[in-house]
Amino acid sequence: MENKAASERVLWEEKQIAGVRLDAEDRSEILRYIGYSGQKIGPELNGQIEEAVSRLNRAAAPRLIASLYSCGEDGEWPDALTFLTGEDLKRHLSGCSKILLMGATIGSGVDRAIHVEEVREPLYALIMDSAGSTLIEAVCDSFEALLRKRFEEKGLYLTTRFSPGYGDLPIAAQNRFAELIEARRIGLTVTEDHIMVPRKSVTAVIGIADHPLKEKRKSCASCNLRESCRFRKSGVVCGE
Amino acid sequence: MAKKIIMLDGGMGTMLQNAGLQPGEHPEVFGFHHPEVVKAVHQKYIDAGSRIIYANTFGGNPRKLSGQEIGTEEAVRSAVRTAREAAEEGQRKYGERIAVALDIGPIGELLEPLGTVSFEEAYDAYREQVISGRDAGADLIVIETFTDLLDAKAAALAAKENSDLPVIVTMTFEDTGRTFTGTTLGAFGMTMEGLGVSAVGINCSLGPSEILPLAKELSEWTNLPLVIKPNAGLPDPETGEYRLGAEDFALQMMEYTGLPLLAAGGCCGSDPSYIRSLSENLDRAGILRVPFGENPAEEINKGRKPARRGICSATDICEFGGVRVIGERLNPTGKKKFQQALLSHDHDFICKIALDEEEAGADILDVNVGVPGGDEKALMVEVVKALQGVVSLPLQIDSGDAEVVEAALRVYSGRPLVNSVTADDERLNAFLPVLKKYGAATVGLCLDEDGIPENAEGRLEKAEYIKKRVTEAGIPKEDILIDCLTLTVSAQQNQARETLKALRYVHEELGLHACLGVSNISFGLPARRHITENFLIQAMQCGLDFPIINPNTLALMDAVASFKVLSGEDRNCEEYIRRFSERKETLVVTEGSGAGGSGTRADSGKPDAGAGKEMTVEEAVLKGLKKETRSISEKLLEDHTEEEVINEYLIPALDKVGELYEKQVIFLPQLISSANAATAAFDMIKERIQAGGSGGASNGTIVICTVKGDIHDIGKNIVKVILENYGYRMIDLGRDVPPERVVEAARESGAALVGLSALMTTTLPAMEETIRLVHEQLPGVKVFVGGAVLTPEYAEKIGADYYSADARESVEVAKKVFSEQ
Repeated sequence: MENKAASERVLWEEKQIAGVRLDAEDRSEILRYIGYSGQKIGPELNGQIEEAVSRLNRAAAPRLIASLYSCGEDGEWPDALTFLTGEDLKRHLSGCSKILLMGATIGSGVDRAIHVEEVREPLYALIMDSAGSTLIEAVCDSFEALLRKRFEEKGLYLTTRFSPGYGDLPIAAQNRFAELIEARRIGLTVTEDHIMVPRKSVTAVIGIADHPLKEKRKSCASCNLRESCRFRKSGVVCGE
Repeated sequence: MAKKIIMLDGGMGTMLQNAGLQPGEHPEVFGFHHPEVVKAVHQKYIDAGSRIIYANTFGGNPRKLSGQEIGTEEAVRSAVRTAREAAEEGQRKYGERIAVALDIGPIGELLEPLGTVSFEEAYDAYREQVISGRDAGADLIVIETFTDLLDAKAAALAAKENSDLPVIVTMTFEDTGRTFTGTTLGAFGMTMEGLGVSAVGINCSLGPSEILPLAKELSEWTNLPLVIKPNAGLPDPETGEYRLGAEDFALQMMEYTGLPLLAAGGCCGSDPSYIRSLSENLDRAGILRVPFGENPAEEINKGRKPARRGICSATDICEFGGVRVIGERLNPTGKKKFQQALLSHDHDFICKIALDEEEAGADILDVNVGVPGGDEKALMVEVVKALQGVVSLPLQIDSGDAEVVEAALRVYSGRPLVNSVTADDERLNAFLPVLKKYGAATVGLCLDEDGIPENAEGRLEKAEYIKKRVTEAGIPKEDILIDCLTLTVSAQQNQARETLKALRYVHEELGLHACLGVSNISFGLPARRHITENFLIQAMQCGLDFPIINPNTLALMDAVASFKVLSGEDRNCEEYIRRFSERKETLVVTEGSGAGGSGTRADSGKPDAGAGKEMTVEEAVLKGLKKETRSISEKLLEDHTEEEVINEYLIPALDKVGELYEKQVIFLPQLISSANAATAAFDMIKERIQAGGSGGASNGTIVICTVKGDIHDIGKNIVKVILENYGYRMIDLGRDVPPERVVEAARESGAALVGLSALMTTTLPAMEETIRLVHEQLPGVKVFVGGAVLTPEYAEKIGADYYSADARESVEVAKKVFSEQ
C-alpha cells in the first residue's frame, strides 16, 4: 500500500547485486584505471594483479538501495527532489515520468583491506583501489541492466546514470541525497566534505520514460575533470 | 524462560511519514512543529502495551541538525516533553509507570580511520544530546542502530559521564553476525559490559527470526540482559514494503522468551498493531508485562551460564582459556629505529611491525610507546588509533602511568588488556578506577615499591595482594593476569627456578591467569633462542598462559603450537597439522651470531629462485626484485662505499625507471615494484650506516599529506615511496590533515618542502588555505601540490610553488628545491 503523503515513493534494497564480483574480463578495466597502455607485464606482476583482485573480491560486500519517485503529470519533480539543482540533470531527465535515486557500495571491508595494504604492500593497495573502482561500477551496471530489463518489459525506458558532481549538479548534494535514500541501511555515509564512506560507493539518478530516449553518453565536454584528466592526456576516454 | 518483559514501542519513522513527514525531512524538526502528531504515535504505542517509549530524538545530535532551524537542545527538549505528556496521560489511564527514553542514533558519519570524524568529535556531539535529554527529564538513555563499536562507545561514555540514567545500547547487525564496519556480536557484548551499561541488544536491519541466532550468540558473550527490536521482517524487493505481518512478527518474537530478555519491541516497518500482537501473545503465554525498573537483571540472569571471557578489538576476540601469545615487538626499549619512528610519528613503521606479528600468529599485541623526549600520552593515543585501523588483534596497553592508560582506553575500540598494575598501593589507587570504568582486563606485576621479592613465596604474596585489591574494586578475578617476572638467568641464575615456582603457585593456588615477558631470560647469553625456548616451555608447563614473546621467532611459536597439542588445547592436533603440513623441516646452519633478534624467517636472506649471477642492480630494480636488489647491493658494498652504491648504482637505476615510466614503457605498478626493490637495498644500507655510527644524513626533509576534508591517499603514498628512495626524509601526516598540523610538522622537522594532495574539487579550498598558512608562518618553505583535479595553472592560482603531475615529477621538484638551498 503506497501512501500519497510520502510522495509516492518506493524504497527497496536490491539484493540481486550482492554476488557481483570481478573476473578475468574486468582485468583490462582495472589496468586502465592505473594508466595501462600496452606495456609488457611479466609473470610476477601478473600474479600480483591476480592476487590483489582476489583479495578485493573477498573483502567486497556489495549493497545497493534504490528509491523510485513519480513525477507529476506535467513532468514536474516531487518536492523531495528539488534539492537536486542545476540545468544538466534537468536536461538529462527531460521527458521522464519517474525518477530513480540509487546508492551503492562495496563496503567498508574494502577500505580496510586497502588501508592494510597501504602499510604492507603499496602495490597491492594501488591495484585493489583500482579494482574497487571497477567493481563498484560493475555493481551499478548490473543493477542498471536488471532495471532496464524490468522496466522494458513494462514498455518503459531508462536514461544513463547521473551522479552528484556531474555537470552542474553540485557534489554538496551528496549528503541530502544519502539521507533521502536512507543510505545508512546499506552502510553508506557521507562526510561533511561530501565524500562518500565507504570510499567505493556511488550515488546516481536514473530517469524513466515511456518513450525511447536518445542515448546520452558520458562525454568529456560536460565533465568537470576534463582539464586534469589523465585518460584524456593519454588519448583515451573513461566512458566507452 | 523469561517470566517478565518490558514492552518497548515500534517504528517511529513510518508512522510519522504516514502523518505527513517527507522523506529526507528531519523527524525532530517535524516533531518540533507537529508535537501533536508525535504524541498521538506515542499514545498508540502506549495503548498497545509499550511501557518504555522512545522520544523522537534519534537524529537529534548537533551534527545531524546542523543547518536546521532548531538545534539539539531545542529538538531534544521538545521531543522529550511530547513523550512525557503522552507517558503521563498513559500512566493515568493504565495506572502503570511509563518511562521516556532519550533515543540516541549515530551521528551518521563514520569515525576515523574509515571516515573523518574523530572519536572526540563524536563524543562531543553525543554529550550535547545526553545533557539535553537529561535536563529535559528523560528516564533512561537508549543508544541504538549503531554499526561502529567505537562510535557506540563514544555515545555510551557520553551517557555515563554526563548523566546517572540507565543506559541501553543496541547495535544493528547483518545476518553475517557483523555490523557494516565489521564489529562482532561478542566484541559488542564484551565491550559494553565493560563500560557498565545496563543492557545490550540488537535492533533494525533484520526480522525477529533472522536476529534470533544473533541474539543467542550475543548472550554467550555478556552477562547483561538483552533488548531486542527487530524490523517487521525483510523488505519486499519489489515494493520495499516489510513483509512480516503483526501476528507473525509477534509469534517469531515469542521465541526470544527463552533468552535473558529485559525488553522487546519493534523497529522499521512495525507499528502499534505489532506491539499489540506481541502484548497479547505474551499474555497468553503467561509472561508478565512489567513497567521499567521491575525486571531486575538478577532475576533475568537466574540460572544463566556465565559469559565467555576474554578481550577484544571491534572485529576480533581473544577468548581466555588456553595459551595466548602476546606480541612484544611494539616497544621502543633498546630499539633506535622504533624510537625514531615514534618521535617522527611514522605510524606506518609501527603498523608494519604489528601486521608482521599478526601474520605470525600472535593473539594480542603489547603496545608500549615510552621513549625519552616523547609525550607518552599523546603518542599512545595516536599509535592506538593508527593500529586499530590496520590490525584486527586486541591490544595490550603497556604503561606505568594511569593517565596514559586512561587516554588509550578511551579511544580503544574494544575491550583491552592493561599492562600493568603492581602491588604498590599508590599505583593501584591510580589504576583501579580507570580499569573499572573502561572494563579492561589487567596484568599485575609481582612487585611493589620495595622491588621484586627474591623468592617465589614473596611474589605469591604480592600476587595475592593484587588479587585482593583488584577484585575489591569490582573487577572479576578472571580478568587478572599475574606476571611473576623474568630475571636474566646469566646474572641471577637461581631466579629462573623461583619464577617458575611462583608461576605454579599463581596458577594452582590463586587460580589466576599468568603472563610473563619470556625473552628477558636469555639476555647476555649467546644463542639466546635456545634458552628462551626452553624457558618458555617450562613456564607453560607451570601454568603460563599468556607468554609475551616475539611471535616472529619461529621456534617460539612452534613451541607454543606443540605445547597446545600436548596440553590437549589443540583438539585433534588440527592447528598443529595446519601449521606444519606445508613446512619443510630442514636443518638450517646459520652464519654469524644468531642472537635472538627479530624477524627470523625461514626464507630470509635467500635470493629468489632462478636469480642469475650476472644480474646488475639496474636489472634487479627494473624487474622489481627485492631480494636480488638487496643481495647485489650487499655484494657491491664489498668494494664500494655506501655513498657509491647509492649514487652510482641505485639512484641511476631509479632514474632509468623514471625515464621508462615517462616514456610509458612501464606503467605505475611497475614503477612501484621497482621503487620497492630499491627500498629493500636502501634499508639495508641505512642500517649499515647507522651501525657504523654516523647518523646517515638525508637529502632533505619533506612533509607530505592529503589536505583537510580529503581522504584519498593512494597517490600521495606513491609519491612518498618514490621520494624516500631518492633519500629524502619523508614525514607523512596521512590524510584529512588540517593546515595547522602541516605548519607544525614542517616547523618541528625543519622541512624545506611540503607536498599536498587533493582529489576533490571540494577540498581545493583547504589546499589553498594550507598553502597560505605555510607561506605565512614559514617563509622560505616551498609547497608542491598534486592530485586528480589539479592543473599547473590552478596550482599557480592557489599559490603553490610547484605542481607535480605524478610521483616522477615530484622527484624533479624535490631536486630543484633542495639544490637551491
